[in-house]
Amino acid sequence: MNYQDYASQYGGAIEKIGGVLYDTVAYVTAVSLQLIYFTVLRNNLALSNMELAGTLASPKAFLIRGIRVNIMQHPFSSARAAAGQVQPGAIDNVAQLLNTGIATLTIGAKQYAQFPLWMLPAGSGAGGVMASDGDVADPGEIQDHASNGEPDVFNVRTLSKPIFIGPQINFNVALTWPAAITLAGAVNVPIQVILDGDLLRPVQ
Amino acid sequence: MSLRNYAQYNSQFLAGKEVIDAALWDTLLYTSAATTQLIFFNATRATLDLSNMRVAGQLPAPEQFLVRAIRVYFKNRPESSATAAAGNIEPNSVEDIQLLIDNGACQLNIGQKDYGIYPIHLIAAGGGVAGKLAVDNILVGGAAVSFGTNGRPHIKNTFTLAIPVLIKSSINFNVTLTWPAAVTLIRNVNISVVLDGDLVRAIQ
Repeated sequence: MNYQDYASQYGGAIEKIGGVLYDTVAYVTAVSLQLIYFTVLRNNLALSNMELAGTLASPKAFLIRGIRVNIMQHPFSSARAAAGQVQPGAIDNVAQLLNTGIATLTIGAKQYAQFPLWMLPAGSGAGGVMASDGDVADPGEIQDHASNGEPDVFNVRTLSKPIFIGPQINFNVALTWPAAITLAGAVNVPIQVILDGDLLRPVQ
Repeated sequence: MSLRNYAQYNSQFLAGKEVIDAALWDTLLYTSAATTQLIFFNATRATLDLSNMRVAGQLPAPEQFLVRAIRVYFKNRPESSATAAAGNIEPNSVEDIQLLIDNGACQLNIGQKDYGIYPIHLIAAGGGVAGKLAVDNILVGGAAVSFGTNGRPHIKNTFTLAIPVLIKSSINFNVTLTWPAAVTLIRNVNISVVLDGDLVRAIQ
């Protein structure tokens, strides 16, 4: 019997579309030292679109053209710090996470990219303007918002050499910090890692 | 066993090399009113957030690095301060950055020769926190919160060399930041220098 006559994949062919792989993990204030991405199924498209944990289902494959790290910091209101002190808030949260965070892409058993987080801007996020009314007694309050770089689609690190992830090859991205960071208001912040590129999949 | 036969046990696949998008970075502390020179890449550091150099001052064979761009990133945090009296310079986070980049020079040295000397203000970070900030305070005399970056945090705001520079294996190199006189800041700041480009390494 010729099984090819009944194939669910047309002619065994592969097509290519622009695609992204993304995963989201919360940074837990004063606790997280390492966040590992793409190794766990989230079953929630707001968090991740991985269909298998840590690998792509054959015959799917992915060409990574860019890497993005989106720190999903919401606008925040904080008491104004005393003069001469660091000001906690959304900007400080993102500054601390970027200043000491490192992203490492591993495919198989080998590292294929390693960058400080500030070198991997999100290239997306909320824009906006802010104002405040000035009626809070001293020390007052501040309201702020921050993102990993300007939220502009052209603000993305495009790899000088794209990287191919074949079917059924283990891969992950790890974000690491040398010491845990205490975030403003002890509120955890979700961080999303996005691999931006070309998805290869069967023609059906 | 003859020397020729050792090749069959080579840990480097077919003695081949591959190229990946990569960065080399190093971080040193600028001490207010004291530092006049910082030399980067001439030592290994304790943690990855500070540096990814594995050998002091050079790349281990067979690694090589094509420098396509240089970046200088200040690991500062937002500051709260009293406002200066009208007609005076405002000491804050933005002023700290301006003092450091307007009065300093950046020099890339390879072997015994310099491969570029630039004012630091030309060497933008091209990344970091993009923030929005408002202050709500009725303090008489005023209060301010500030956050400075080395240029717009956008990846296209990167100083790309007109002619890339190749650092060969086992060749000494460093980047030196110098100031003719120490500048006084509101706070000491960690400075990262990044060489952005392509890493040539063994296929394994």
